[in-house]
Amino acid sequence: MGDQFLFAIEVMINGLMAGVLYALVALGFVLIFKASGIFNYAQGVMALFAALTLVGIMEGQVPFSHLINAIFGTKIHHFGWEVPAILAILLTMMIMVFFAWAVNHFVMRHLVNQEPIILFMATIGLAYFLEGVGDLMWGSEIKTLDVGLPQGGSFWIEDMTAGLGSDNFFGFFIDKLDMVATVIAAILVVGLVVFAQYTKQGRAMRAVADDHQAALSVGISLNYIWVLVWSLAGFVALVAGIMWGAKSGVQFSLSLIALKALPVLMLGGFTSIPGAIVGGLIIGVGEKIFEFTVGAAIGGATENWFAYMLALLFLVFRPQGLFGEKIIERV
Amino acid sequence: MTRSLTNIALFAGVACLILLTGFTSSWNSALLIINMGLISAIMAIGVNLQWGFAGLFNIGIMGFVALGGLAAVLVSEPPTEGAWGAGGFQVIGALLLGFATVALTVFVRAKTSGRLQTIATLVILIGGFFLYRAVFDPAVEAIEAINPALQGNLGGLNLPIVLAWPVGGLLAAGAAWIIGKTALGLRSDYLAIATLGISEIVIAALKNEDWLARGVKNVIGLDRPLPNEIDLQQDPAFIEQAAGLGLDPVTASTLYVKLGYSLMFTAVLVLIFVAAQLALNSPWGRMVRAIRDNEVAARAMGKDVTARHLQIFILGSAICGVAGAMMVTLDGQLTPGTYQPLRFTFLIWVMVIVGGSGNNYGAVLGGFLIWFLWVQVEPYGAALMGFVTAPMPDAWWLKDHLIESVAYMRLFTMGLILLLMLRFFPRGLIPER
Repeated sequence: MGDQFLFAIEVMINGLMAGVLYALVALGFVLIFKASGIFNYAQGVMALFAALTLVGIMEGQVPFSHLINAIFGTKIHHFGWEVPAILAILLTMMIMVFFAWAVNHFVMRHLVNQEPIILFMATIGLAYFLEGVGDLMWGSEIKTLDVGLPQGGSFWIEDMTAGLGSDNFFGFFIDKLDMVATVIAAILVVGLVVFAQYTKQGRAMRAVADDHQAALSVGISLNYIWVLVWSLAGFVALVAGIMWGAKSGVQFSLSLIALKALPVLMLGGFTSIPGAIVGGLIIGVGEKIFEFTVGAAIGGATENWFAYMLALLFLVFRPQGLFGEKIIERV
Repeated sequence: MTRSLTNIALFAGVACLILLTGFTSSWNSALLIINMGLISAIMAIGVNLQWGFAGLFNIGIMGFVALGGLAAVLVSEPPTEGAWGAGGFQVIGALLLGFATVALTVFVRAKTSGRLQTIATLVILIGGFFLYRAVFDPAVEAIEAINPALQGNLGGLNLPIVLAWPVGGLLAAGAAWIIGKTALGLRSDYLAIATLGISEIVIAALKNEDWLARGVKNVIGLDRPLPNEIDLQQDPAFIEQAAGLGLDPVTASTLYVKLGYSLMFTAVLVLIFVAAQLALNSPWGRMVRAIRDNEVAARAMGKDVTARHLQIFILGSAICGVAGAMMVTLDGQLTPGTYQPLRFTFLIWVMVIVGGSGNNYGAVLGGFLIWFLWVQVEPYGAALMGFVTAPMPDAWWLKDHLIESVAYMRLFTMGLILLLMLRFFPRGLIPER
């Protein structure tokens, strides 16, 4: 096999791994969009906030320490303990549930029956707010997140595949973390599907997604379901935040992947969980392969816009996305 | 209180805020806020035309603003010496060739069918691409080799920069025409994704095509419509006048220049505002709003929905382009690296929503108010912290904390304001009548 071909395969595999992250963010979007029709721009920031909180708890940082120090003239930074990863993840999850409740109680509940754009703007406000709160609570420096996931390239794969090409080919470089991320994402999706299909709350959730009013009339509490859905989205955001944070440090650029999730949703369909996954993978692989094959010929930096072009093409030929519901009418 | 009184009070409130800045910190920063506020108000009017009056969801404002900025460079920069000879005409030729390829493809596709069509399309597109690259690449290389530390681009037409404002509008209108032709008349999320994607592409092109506007190397020191401060300070007549007003020449010159910008921008804002108001109270404006409220009914009444959408989309985008050119004029530089959706797309949306979508007064108010907050939240946060911590004795290490903690206030406060606004005034400060 030619080296170029092997490189292309390597690029593709790494694209798959990047796609997992897009898919996770898109998944959070889909959950909320299905249940409440809100396009949640804050999903990326939620991932950031979850990761920041996790690091903060694990390292025993004092929340709002800068603010406290500035106002009371103290000098506290850390409690001086370190929390094990599992416990910290649980605590972070509790905070995300509280966040879900707060969003619903203070914001979304009062905006029922507003136009979609108002709801969308509210999530933009939420994104600004959450980014600011994350900053105030935990500080803005880039943090390393280590929850005990394996790191670095897998030598085993490298050794196994080194013989495939010529002497210039050293085997596939595949990050162990990416592999773990893929497995965890797969488990997460299976778990979500099982939850939605077989539990009482999951069924209630799907009922709300199908028809608000009918669900309300059989006694399902919309408020409860919305809190549940935002909590689930918070959980997905936490997983995405852990993956991203472990890979490239917890930093504020994470919030920008929210924009990348839009083409993913266009591809997969706004209301389909498998669609979000497949869409994420297609975008992840597509932009890497495109950069690798065509990028050099047209001056590079195609990763910024490739996803949008692909989404546009999809909109022309298949407006409901790959897995979306076929209720779309062309005007 | 009646509606109009409330509106006057709101505008007066924002004016007071800006005046307060003038009294407490400096008139220089107050004027700076006014200037950017004027530009923001123009952008907000553009978005308000599209969203508030026609219901078009444009989230690619950044791209149109950047195109306006590009126009400023292309119009006002002096042409780079030797660039046109080295490959300027060749680049233009290559672009025309690319255009011809697309045109030929469309023509051939209309004339043929079946397998022949597929093959012909592929042959023309691939052949055209390689031909285009063969002409384009050496020309670009030659241009970028000319004095790359300072130039390396084609340069512009060496015309007064004020001419760039309408040109920026035209450039943005052209882009809007292309987007509108493909995406309007389909579902609304087509437009959203198309504008978002194309604005990213515009920024990517500006960053990478060095021959056009130097890419991330930035174009600085653009031509100015007003005299330089340093020239004023050396002008005896000006020094005399400043002394007559009791100002030292340095302050007087900066104020003079900023006031000049304010007047120019105000003229543009008033022009656009009056035009927008007149258009919207005309039968045309009523038709646009009727289409927004019920597309099917308007179509049944014989209104051409797609054509009206296209018109107003192009108009709104052109206004954003004009504002983009004005902003680059004010800054005196084009820095493609600083164009981010959060600042140039969503902040404008916040202005429109907070001000009140569907109302031009609201858009102007939102432009000023949100820009004021965006700029002033940090210093005011710092002042607040300073006030709270003032009685503390050992201030030396505290200072670092202060500086660190106030830097986060901006996003936090912006988010809080937006959420509170939507919670209590979901239709904006000055709602549509």
